[in-house]
Amino acid sequence: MSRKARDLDLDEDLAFQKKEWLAQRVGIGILFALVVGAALGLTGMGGPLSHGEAGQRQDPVFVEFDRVVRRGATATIRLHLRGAPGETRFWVSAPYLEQVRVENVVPPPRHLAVDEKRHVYTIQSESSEVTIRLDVEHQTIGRMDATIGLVDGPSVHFIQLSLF
Amino acid sequence: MDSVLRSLAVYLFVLVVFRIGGKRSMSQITTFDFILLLIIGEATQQALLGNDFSIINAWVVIGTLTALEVVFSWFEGRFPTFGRVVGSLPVIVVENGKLLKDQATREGVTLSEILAEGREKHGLERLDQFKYAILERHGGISVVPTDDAR
Repeated sequence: MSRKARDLDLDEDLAFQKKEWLAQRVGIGILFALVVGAALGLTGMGGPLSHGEAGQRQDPVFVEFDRVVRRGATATIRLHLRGAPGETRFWVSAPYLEQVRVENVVPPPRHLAVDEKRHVYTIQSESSEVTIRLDVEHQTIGRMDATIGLVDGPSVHFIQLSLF
Repeated sequence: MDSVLRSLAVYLFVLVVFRIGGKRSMSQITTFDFILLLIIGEATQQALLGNDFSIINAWVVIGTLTALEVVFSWFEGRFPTFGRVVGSLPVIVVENGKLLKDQATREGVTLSEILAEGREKHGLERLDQFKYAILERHGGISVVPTDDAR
C-alpha cells in the first residue's frame, strides 16, 4: 500500500505486515519445537525418545538401538546375546543390511557367512553373555525393518526411521 | 541429484530461518554475529557436500545456490506478492516525531537505535526532528527529517 497521503511513496502494507509478524511468531515456535524435539531425540542420534530396545534384558537376544537415525550418519546398535560359552553365532536380516553400511563390528567376527536372507556372524567368546556393537551408516531414507537373532535361537525385530 | 536436493533444502531452510529472525536480525553485524555466521556456514558445509568433496560436487552446489538466488530474484520482480513473502516490506516506525510503538516493538527496533540513525546520517538531535523513520526490507533504518531540521 502506498503512503502518498503522508508525502511518502512507500509500499508499506500493515495488514500484510501483521500477517508476517504472526507468521514469524509461529515460525519461532516451530524453531523452538525443533530444538526441543532434537534434544529429546525426535531427530535421531541420541536422546530419551530415540532410544529403543527390542526384547527383554534377560532374554537370549536383547538389542538397543536408535529409533530415529539419519542418512549418512553412523548409528550404533548394541546386541546383548546369551548363548553357550565359546562361539556365538548371530544373524542380521539381509534386507536391512542392504540399506546400511556396516562400518564396525566389535568384537570383530571370526567368520561371516552371507545368504539371501541373512548375514551370519560368528564371534569367539569365553563367556555365555556377550555384548556386540554394530556401527552402521544408514544409506536410505524412511522406515527400515531389522531382525537380529541367534542361529538356531530366538530373534527380535525392530524398526528404525531414517531421516534425510 | 543428491547435491541439488541438499542445496535446495539448505537454501530454503536458511531463507525461512532468516525471515523468522526478522528484518533487524542481521542488519548490523556485531563481532558475535560474525562468529555465529561462520559457525552456521561451517555447519551448513557438511550438509551441502555430504561425503563428496570433489570439485564437481562443489560446482554443482555453488551452481544450484546461485541459480536459486537468480530464480528467487526473478520471481520477486515478476510476482510482487512472492517478493513480499520472501523479502518482506518496509515499516514506518516514527511518524511526525512520534514513535509508533507497536510497529517498533514487533520489529525489535528501539528508540535509541532510531535516534542513533538520525544523529549519524542527518545530525538530528531530537525525535521531534524526525518526519519519518522507516525500517527498510533489508533491516536498515531510513530517516526523513522534518523540513525545519533539514
